[in-house]
Amino acid sequence: MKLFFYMILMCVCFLPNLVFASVKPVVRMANELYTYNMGFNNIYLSDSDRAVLWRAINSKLLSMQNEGKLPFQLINEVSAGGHYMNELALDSDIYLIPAVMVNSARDTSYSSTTSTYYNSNIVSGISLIFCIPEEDYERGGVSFRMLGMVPIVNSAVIGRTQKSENGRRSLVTRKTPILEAEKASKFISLSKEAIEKQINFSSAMKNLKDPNALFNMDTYQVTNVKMSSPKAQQTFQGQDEKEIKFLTAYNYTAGLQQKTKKIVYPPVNMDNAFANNVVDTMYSLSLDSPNGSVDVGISQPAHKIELDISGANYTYANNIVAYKVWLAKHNRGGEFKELTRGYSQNLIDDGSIDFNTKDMYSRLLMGVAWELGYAER
Amino acid sequence: MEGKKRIGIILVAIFTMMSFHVTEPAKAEASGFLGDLLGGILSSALGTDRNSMWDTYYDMVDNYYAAAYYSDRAAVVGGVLLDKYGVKVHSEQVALVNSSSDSSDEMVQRTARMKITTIDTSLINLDQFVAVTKRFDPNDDLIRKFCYYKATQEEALGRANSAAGLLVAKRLLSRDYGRAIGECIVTALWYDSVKSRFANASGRSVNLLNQAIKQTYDVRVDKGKIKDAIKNVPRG
Repeated sequence: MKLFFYMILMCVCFLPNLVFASVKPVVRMANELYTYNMGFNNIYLSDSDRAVLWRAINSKLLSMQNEGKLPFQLINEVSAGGHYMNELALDSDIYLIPAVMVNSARDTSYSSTTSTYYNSNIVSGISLIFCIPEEDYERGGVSFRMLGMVPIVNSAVIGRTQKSENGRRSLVTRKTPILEAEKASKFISLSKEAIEKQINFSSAMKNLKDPNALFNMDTYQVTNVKMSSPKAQQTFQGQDEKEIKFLTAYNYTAGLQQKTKKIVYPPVNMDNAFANNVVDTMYSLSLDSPNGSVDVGISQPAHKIELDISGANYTYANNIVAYKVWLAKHNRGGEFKELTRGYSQNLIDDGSIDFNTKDMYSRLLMGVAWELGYAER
Repeated sequence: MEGKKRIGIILVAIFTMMSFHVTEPAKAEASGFLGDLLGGILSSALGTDRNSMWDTYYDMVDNYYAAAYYSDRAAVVGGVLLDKYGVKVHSEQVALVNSSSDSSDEMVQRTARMKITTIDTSLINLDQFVAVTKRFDPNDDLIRKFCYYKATQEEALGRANSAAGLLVAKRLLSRDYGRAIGECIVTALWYDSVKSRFANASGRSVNLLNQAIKQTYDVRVDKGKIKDAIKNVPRG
C-alpha cells in the first residue's frame, strides 16, 4: 500500500515536468550559416569564419538546452554533402536557419596636418529564423514558411579609442587602412558577443508548438522606412540610403523582439518600389550559403510598422560639435512615437572634426532605432 | 483516516508545485520593478538632475545593445539589495504594478536562486527607501554590482533615467569611498570585452581606476554646455 502511495506521489511530482518536456517541439538546426544578401554584406566571410559562427550559435543553444532554457528540443542536422535543406522530406518538424542579415563595414578616413587616420564601422546582425517546410508547387521540391525569428545585433568601430586623456572625446588612432581580415575578425567577435548575450527565447516562442497558429499569430514587421529629413536625404543617397534604412529597421526589430518577445519578421527590403509591391502579399526571403540557397516565405504580418528618419543635423557651439537624429514610428493603427538621440564632443585641437557625418548619423540611428523598438510594450 | 491523510499529502504536493509555477515569474517581475525603483529613489535622494547624466552615460560605453542582459542583472541584484537592507515587498502585488517587466526564464531562475523575500507591499514608500539608501555600506559587494549593472544597462539603453551607478559613485567619492564604486565605472568603460565583466574587474590596478574616475569627472565639467548643445540642435 505504501509503495502504491509513493508511486502516486512521484507521478504527481514529476508529471508536470514530463508533460512540459514531451510538448516541446522538435527544432532541427541547419548545419551551416546562411546569408541574406542584400548588398550590405561587404565583409568577406570565409568558410571557416562561417563555421566558427555556426559553432558559436550551436554551442550557445546546446548550453541553453542543457540548462533547460530552450523552449524546444534542438536537433542538429547532419548533411551528407550540402543542399540538404532543399532535399528534406516534408514533415511537421520546425527548422532553425541561422542567417547573417547584416555584415557591414563602412570605411572612413580623416587627414590632419600630420597624419591620415582610418576608421571602419562594423555592424553585425544575425537572425535565428524558425520555419516549417512546405512543398514548392511552382519549382518543385521544398521551400520554407517563416514562423518568426530572433534577431541579434552588435556594432563597433575599429580605429577609435574610447577616451582621450582629458576626457570628453574619442580619438582616431589608426594610421594605416583597416585590413579585410581585421574587419572579419571584428565582425566575428561582435557576433560571438551578441550570440552569448542576446539570444533569449521566451514564452512567445510557445507558438512554435503549434505551427498552424502562424496564420493568426500576433506578428510584427517593419514594412517601410521613410526618410522625411532633408539633411538625411542629402547624407544618404543611393545604396547608402537603402543600407541605413535596412539597418534602422533591423535594429528596431531586434529591440522590439528582445523587449516584447513578440513574433517578428525581418524588415522588408527597403527598395521602395519592391517593398510597395510585396507588403500586401506573401514574399520570399532568399538565404544563401556556399552549398546552395533556400527560400523562406513570409506571410503578411498582423502589424505593419513604418519608421521615419524624421530629422538629422549637427551644430557647432562653444568648441563643441553636437549631432542629433530623430526617428519616428507609425503604426497602421495611427499610433505615433518619436525619439531623438544625440552625441557631442569637443573639436580637436586645430578646430577640425574627425567624425564622418554619415557615420555619426548611422551610429545614432542604429542606437535610437534599437531604443525605439525596446520602448515598445 | 490513513486514506484521508494520504490524500491530504498529495493535495499539499500539488498545491506546492502549483504555487511554485505561479510565483516565480511574479518574483522576477517584482525584482525588476525594485531595481528600477531603487535607481530612481537613489537619484532623488542624492538630489541630482538625472537628465544631466545622459551624456556621461552615452559616452561611457560605446555599445547600445546589451540593455536586456544588464537590465536583468540590475533588477535581480537590486531586489536582493533591498532585501538585505530590510526593505520587504510583496512581490505579487508589485508585479501587478509593473506587469510589463521582463520575466525571462533565465531571470526567473536567477531570482529563485537568490531567494528574494516577499512580505508586505504597504511598506513601499519614498521616505523608507531614502532612509535605506543612507544605510548602504559603500564597500558592499552587492552595491557595487548593482551600480555596475545599472550603469551598464542605462548606457546600453542610451538613457539615464535612473543613473544610480554614477550618482552613487559621485556621492561616495566625496567621502573617499571611491575605489569600490569606481570599479563599476572602470568595468563599464571596459565592458565591451568579455574579460571586463565585473568578476574580473576588482583586480584592476589603482592607476586604471583613478584614471577612469578622473575621466568621468572631467566629462561632467562640460555637461551643462554639452546638454544644451545637443538639445539645441535644430531638426534638419
